[in-house]
Amino acid sequence: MTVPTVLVSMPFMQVDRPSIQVGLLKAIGEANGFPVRTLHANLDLAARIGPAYYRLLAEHRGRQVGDWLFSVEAFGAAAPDVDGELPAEFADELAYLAGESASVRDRLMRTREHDVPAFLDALVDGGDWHGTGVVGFSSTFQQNTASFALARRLKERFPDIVTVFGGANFDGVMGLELVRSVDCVDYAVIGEGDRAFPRLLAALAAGTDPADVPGVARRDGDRVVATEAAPPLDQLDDLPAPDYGEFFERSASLGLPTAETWLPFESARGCWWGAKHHCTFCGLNGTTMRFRAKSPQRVLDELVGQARRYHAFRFEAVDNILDPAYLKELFPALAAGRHDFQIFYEVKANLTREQLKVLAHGGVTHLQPGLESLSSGVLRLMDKGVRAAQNVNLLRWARYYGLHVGWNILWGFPGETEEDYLAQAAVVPHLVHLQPPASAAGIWLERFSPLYAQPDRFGPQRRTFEASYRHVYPEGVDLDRVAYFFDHEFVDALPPSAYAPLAKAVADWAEAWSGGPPSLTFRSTRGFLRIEDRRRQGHDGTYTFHDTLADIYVACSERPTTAPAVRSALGLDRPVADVEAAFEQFAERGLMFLDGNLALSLALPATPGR
Amino acid sequence: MTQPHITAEEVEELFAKLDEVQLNDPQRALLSAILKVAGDVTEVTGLSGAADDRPPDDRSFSDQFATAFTPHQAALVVEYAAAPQENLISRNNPPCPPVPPGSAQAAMISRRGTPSSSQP
Repeated sequence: MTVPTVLVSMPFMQVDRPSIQVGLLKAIGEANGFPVRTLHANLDLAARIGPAYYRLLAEHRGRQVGDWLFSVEAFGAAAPDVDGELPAEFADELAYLAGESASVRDRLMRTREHDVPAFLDALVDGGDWHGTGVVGFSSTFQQNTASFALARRLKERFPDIVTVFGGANFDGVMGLELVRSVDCVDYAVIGEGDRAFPRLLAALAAGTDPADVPGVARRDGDRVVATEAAPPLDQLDDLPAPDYGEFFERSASLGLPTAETWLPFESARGCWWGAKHHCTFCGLNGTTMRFRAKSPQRVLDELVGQARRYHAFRFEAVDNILDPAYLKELFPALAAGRHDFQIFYEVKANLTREQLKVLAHGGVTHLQPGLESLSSGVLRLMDKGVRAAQNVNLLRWARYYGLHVGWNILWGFPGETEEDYLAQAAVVPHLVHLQPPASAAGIWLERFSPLYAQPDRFGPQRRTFEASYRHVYPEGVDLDRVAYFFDHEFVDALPPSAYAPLAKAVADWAEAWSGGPPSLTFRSTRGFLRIEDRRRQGHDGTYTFHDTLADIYVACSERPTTAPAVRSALGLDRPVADVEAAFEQFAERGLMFLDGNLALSLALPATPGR
Repeated sequence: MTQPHITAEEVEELFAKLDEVQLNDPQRALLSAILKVAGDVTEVTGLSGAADDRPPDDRSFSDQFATAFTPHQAALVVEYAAAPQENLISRNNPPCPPVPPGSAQAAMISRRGTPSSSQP
């Protein structure tokens, strides 16, 4: 016996890409003999309210606006903030949501009171729900209340439907509390669903208790019955490729463009760095930090197979960190095969020039290296395992090899000093030929992060769930257990004014790129160096150096280097102090980045592609 | 004792490995000192060019720095191969902090990539 199943991805999943969560679970379900359909219902809302407005709601998740939009439909009379106080309370932060002819509040209230109910009605009325046994919801970030709202309506109309929830929002205590407090949740998978999901379907088909399946939870009165999750999946090669067919069909039927779609793929789970040194602010991988990766050959085969299947060349790795083994096997194979892919990856920032070259030649065009800071002191407080000079060096060679880098500057770490930020502000004007950060702002306190989980380690702090949660969930939901983001203040926190100079410098950096990227390049031969400086309009110029100074500068170009190492490499008779003095002089002119005992030349070779 | 032949690649691999080692400040200072000594006594090839037999500098460092800059002469423009500038990351990522007054710009992206199935 089988259980006809529909897996739903609700708003506010991004509109421009299929959900790997439901795509993968569909493939897993069908591999186990269960008929599974996927429904990217988020596309329907995007089509209804317009993709541009939808993207604003999906991309900005500073406050729980997306969940607030669905909370009345999810919780009915129990919903808080029926009158719509949230837009006023966070008016400044939500200014980006203003319409051409509508205030933020008017626009959001119209969405909440008209578009959302109509969207839900259309899903229930227009969907083929008769005969459906199970409706599964994958919920990550602001997908909770939209999922609850649809589940609630479906159960009212089709009482025999069994609802199953899972995804990151159901990890750990969050999932247990949602199962306890939200009536329309029948079962939840806590943790990875690759094995629990088909077993749960099998239990439902057999008429046994799904809560006996490892990793599955259900409500029993006012308590939750849950079986401990099985260990996370080790052999990722055993997983099928995600099935995205219904995403493209639905996009086409709704008139949404898919030509620019980046196909999500998963080559690894967990974080090999976090397993050893958990970055203090990071709340990802709540219960599944251990790193596991698909084999390079399997990844290559999957990319080729998905490209042929969906006529796509753009791929987005959902991995948290690149498997170093891919640098030696996967990307060289992609380069050798002349596959014309464009690939996004998250990486650790300690990649060398040669490794970035391998990535670029292998088709990687977009990187997210988690740079976070230009201060080694602050990076140490984060437990990032890199120095600022390595971050800058990654930006240099990424620019050289044409890699787009997405990164942020973060602040607000216990133990940081005002000098940490003054020093960063001072150096930023020298870095404007490198890709600017997308933002510079304070950290958020995330559940599962060391800053959250280890308060004794980081000193006293005031913390409470992020303020907008109380506009979303009814009183009966314990927000301390459901929230992922928390407002906080460390006892030794710096005043906001400490960050103002850096914020200004970063704004200027972004402005410098608005008319095309500035440049700082050099040409050299042995004993002669010419640096062309076009970083600041009106201050263009050429630096010329000869003999030892030229050689010192070039010796610090490949990677951050110490004065003794340069002296040794160049066979200099001069004392190390002379080399250090040269470093200082280069740095004073904005031509070198100094980081403790490390020096890094900032100019890039004028000859491309080497 | 025979001097080991060390290449620049091997040095980089060592640095990459050391980056992953968690050390407290005294340990890091000690390791830094050890590496300084090692750098002084070990010949590393392939870094940026070996020593040559050119004559010593005919101008002091300070003289060179004082006259190194010539304004308005930077005519060299290099266009490296560039990835599409669409901000994939901005469409892609988990939440980012709210923008404090006076900060650089709207916090369009966050510090991490697309959440996988097990992460918020």
